[in-house]
Amino acid sequence: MPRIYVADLTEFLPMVQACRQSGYQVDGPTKGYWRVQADKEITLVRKVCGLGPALWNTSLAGGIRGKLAEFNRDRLVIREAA
Amino acid sequence: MPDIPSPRLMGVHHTARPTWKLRETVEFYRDVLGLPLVSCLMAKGWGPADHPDFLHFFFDSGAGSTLAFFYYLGSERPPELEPIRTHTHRATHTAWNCGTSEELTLWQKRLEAKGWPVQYRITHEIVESIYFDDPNGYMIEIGFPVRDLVPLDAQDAALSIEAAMEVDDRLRAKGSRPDSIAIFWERKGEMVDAMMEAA
Repeated sequence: MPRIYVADLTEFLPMVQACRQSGYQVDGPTKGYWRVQADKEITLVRKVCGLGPALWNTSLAGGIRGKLAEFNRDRLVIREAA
Repeated sequence: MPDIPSPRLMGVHHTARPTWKLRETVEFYRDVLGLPLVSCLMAKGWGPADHPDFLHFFFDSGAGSTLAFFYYLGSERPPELEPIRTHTHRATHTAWNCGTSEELTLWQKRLEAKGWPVQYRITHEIVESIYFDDPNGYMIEIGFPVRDLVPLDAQDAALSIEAAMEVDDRLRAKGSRPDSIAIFWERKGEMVDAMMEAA
């Protein structure tokens, strides 16, 4: 099950909100981290997450489980590890 | 080994870099940036026999700090110090704190009014900054903290660095090096997972 951890810090909260609105399971924060997960795949779009380019590039710094299948200027995809 | 308490640092006294452009440097820092010249040493070379005579001059950069230059007489800039616009060269820089967003905008307007190009204005996690080069080709950053650091920043930093060092050590032991941030993110994900399960 692909998963993203997001530190409970002000600048990343719009991303947490976007994950929730996109229908992903969002839990937390526990020990300082929001946990975002989905059955097969998590796809995020930078503008929907409300992140500028610099923050977008650190948006997964809370840690991921699964495989980063795509990460470009506007979109990222994490899939279940093979 | 005796247990010596950690001594503290109290901010910046001065930063220093060499220059081979005396007038351009003084006119940029004093007149374009408006930083008062507060000290200038005119010194006979000292130490090694080939150490040239030099000027060491300081501009007030606020909060008790100064920004300093060395001007070495009778020398030319060595090729390895020629400015190169690569990320590795630009990694060596100082980021000056201007306090607020309004002040940063004022810096940006002043530079532009003086005909000095600001290359970027970027919002990072904890600082928003403008970037520009001085006449020597040294990158300067001026910014302000967008928020106070909180304990979670330090906790998260400790996890990030631990994950990164672990992966880095493992790969270097195999004669390799990490080449993608994703492997650090993956290792950190495992560590946060473990922390969550223990919660």
